[in-house]
Amino acid sequence: MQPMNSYNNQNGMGRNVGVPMYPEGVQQNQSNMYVSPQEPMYQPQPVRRYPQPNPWDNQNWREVEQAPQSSYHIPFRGMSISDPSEIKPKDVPMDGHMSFFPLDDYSAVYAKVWTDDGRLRTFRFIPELEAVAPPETPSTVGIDEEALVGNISSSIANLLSPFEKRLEKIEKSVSSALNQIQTPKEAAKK
Amino acid sequence: MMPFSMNPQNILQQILRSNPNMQQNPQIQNYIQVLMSGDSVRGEELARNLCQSMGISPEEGVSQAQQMVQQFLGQNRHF
Repeated sequence: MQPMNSYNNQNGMGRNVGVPMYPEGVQQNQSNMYVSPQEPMYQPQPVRRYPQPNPWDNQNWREVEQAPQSSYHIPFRGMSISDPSEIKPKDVPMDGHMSFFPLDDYSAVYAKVWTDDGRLRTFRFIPELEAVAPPETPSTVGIDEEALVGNISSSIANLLSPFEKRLEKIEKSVSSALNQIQTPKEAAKK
Repeated sequence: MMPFSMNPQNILQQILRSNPNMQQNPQIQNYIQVLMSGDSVRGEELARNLCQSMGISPEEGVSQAQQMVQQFLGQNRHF
């Protein structure tokens, strides 16, 4: 004989599960038989199956319930057209959202929405090219070329000035040496 | 149960209740509000604007509305 089958875990539903439960007055003897003081033998009870709650159901519900407003996506409706006259009123749903109709050549985008007074309001969006930064080129604005040349020449002159002094010294020494060489010859002639 | 009177406002209410999509549609709700307010001038203006936007004449709009109401009443004979 089996104990009453009321298995259930403590799963938030207020029921104990996994622990066999015996009706009051039922005792378990050593031979695994249940003897009731009122009844000679324990009669098996019909098995009760409680619906097991799915924890995922509650969790999913909570996620949907607590979904932030930012996750709501506005439906994007529309189609490409070659001419605005192709847009029919039935192409614009009456749900308060705009429908967008870009031209085939992307030269404009038409948007239509139903107004509260039953009219179709049309917007026309013209593409605007994004301002592209020009490539970086050496800027010549504000620079005086003559001043630049003067600066370069002066810096070159500064660099060469020690060499000029050395050259002058060498010239002097050479000329003095030549003079010393010439003077004995001239003296001999005389 | 309250007796159902066959006036347009009640029919409109029943159509609205029978279609949950309409209840969740803010645009339709605005139109229904105008019609349910009993402001005939504004309602007529709204209907004329809708007909003009849809590209149909007011007569065609009226006939379409009548067809829709008859279809609804045919599907809901208990009214």
